[in-house]
Amino acid sequence: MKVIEIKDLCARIETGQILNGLTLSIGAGEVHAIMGPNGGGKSTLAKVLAGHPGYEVVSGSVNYLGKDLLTMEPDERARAGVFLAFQYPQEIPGVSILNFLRTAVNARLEKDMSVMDFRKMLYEKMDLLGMDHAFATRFVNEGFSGGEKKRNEILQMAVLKPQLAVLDETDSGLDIDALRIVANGVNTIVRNAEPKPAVLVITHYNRLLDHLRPDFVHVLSKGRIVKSGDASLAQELEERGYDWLADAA
Amino acid sequence: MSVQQEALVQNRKVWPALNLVEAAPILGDAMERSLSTLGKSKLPDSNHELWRYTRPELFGFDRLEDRSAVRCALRPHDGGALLPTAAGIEVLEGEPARTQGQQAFKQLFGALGSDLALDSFAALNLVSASSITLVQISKQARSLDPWRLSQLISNTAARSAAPLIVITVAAGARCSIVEDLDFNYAGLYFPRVEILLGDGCEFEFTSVQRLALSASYAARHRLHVGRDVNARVLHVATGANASRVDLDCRLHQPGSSVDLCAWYLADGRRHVDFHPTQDHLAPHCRSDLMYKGVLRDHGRAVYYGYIRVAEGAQKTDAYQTNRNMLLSSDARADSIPNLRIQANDVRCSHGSSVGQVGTDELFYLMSRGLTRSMAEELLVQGFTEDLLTRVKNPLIREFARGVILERIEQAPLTLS
Ligand SMILES: Nc1ncnc2c1ncn2[C@@H]1O[C@H](COP(=O)(O)OP(=O)(O)OP(=O)(O)O)[C@@H](O)[C@H]1O
Ligand SMILES: [Mg+2]
Repeated sequence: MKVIEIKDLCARIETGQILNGLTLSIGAGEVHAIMGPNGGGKSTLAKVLAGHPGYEVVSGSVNYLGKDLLTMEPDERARAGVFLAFQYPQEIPGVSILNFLRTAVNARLEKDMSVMDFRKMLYEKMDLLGMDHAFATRFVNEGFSGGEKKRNEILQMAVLKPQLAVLDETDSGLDIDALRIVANGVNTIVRNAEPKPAVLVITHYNRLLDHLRPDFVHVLSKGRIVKSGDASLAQELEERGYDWLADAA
Repeated sequence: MSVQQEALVQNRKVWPALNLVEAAPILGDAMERSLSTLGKSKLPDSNHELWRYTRPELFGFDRLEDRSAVRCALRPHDGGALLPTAAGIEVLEGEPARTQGQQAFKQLFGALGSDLALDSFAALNLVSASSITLVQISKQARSLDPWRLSQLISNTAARSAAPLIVITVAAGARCSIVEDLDFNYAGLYFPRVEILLGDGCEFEFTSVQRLALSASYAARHRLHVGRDVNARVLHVATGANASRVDLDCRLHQPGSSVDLCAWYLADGRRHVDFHPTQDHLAPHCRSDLMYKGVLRDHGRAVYYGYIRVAEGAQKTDAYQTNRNMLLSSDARADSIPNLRIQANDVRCSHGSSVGQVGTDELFYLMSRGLTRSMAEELLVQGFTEDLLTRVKNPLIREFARGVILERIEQAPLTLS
């Protein structure tokens, strides 16, 4: 079963078009990786899927679990199971991770979860990701190191249990150990979840892919998927770069 | 009879409280000076810079012709009976306040100089005093467990009340005083609170203004800071149709440190104004101000802050920041920080911002499933919490948080 089907997606900002007819589908339990040159539109795709108001969809369609994703508000999408781990996570001064995530979880539930139950669940997920419990009361991303911000994104994913997870360069900024811990965390979260989620990983490096073993690798350039293959494509890109594809495109 | 004396006689009819003067000659002098500042109008001059953003008419100062006295008493912060004295704190009123307060009055309105000559608002405030309360804090006071200074308007039918409250804190004392103005009053509340801080004391003053919407509030708070003092002042303003606080913080001696915080909400058609001044008259002092306001509906807020560093006040550290969060395009905030620095070896900064809720922050929260209104509420809470982290005393922090959250919940914060 496909979790998401993106067809001929074109999206723009005021100054110009960024996505130019992008097509991609991901099935339940599949891990897809997107690679590609800087400025190709990878983060734009991620934000369009999450419903960022700064991007206008000009044409194309996105079907998510049988629904038209593009007509949904960002918060509806999130409650329906869409999750984006941001390339540049936002700081929210004065709001603790605990308070923030509890509100996010309760927004999905009929009956609010008690502070105690929630705290217990949060600490379990923190342990999985090797995060100090002290982070729970810190303000969201404020004063976090680059790696801590990325880990915090994955913590949110673990707590919110998405059906579609888009990880935008979650690996950059992580040290080698953190990368392994986070990758194992992602594996545990996505491979064990039921129903099985679809995962889209945006990255520039093979190291994360070595851990995550994607089912498919795509190259996104100039707003389109210009090449798709299996995990070996990532290896080839590492050796040859993107130039040969840009020529082909 | 000189013109001035004539004016005084005239004014005694209008301002019966001037009878206070007889028992407190120093106060009498100060009041006379005030009257000459006021001139004929007896009301603040709306052309004056200090009234540029807030029209004096909002307050209905003409109501001062009919004033009630105000009675004060102490109460433990966590409830309990009213007490005249407690743990090194003594509250005196009327005649005893006048006689025992001579020394303090001399300092406040004599040698220390005064704001009276500068500003007719200050003058009006002083001449209007309808009762005097003296709160004496001796060095037996050793704890920061807060005490409430409750205020009771004697005649609630009167159209205004203008207490003069003088708080003296002895050298080396430690004390935390809270005023929680939560009474249901439909007039003009126009207090003046003078606080004299002795050397080496640690003092907290918390002023919560949550008067009924039918009330108007204009307060003058002055802090006279001695040597090596640690002082913290917190204002919370969520009530009254028009609210204005002029806070004068005067650092007279070296080695002192003052933190000034405020949180305010301007919603409906409410108007909230703060005029804080950090007046560095001595070297080696530090003052740090953070005022934050939330505006919605047609709310209006004015911040007009001043850092003044006198010649010779070297090694001053003085900061002021004002932040306003707008939840409605009909709300408006004027934020004007000012610096006047006459010493060269100082560190001073000011910052101010007026802005809508950040779209990136909003999107981040919504992308986790929070509805727009949940996200906004959380951002307002965060905006508030960020201020509360500056409030050192956990009992005060909890209290302020409670007051603010209760008020926010009463009026759900949504974009309008
Ligand atoms: N809000 C925006 N305002 C202006 N330009 C934008 C905006 N969003 C995206 N762009 C532009 O669109 C192009 C695609 O940006 P995007 O962030 O999607 O690239 P990317 O593939 O994620 O790159 P990287 O690998 O560097 O993260 C870039 O040229 C970028 O400058
Ligand atoms: Mg990117």
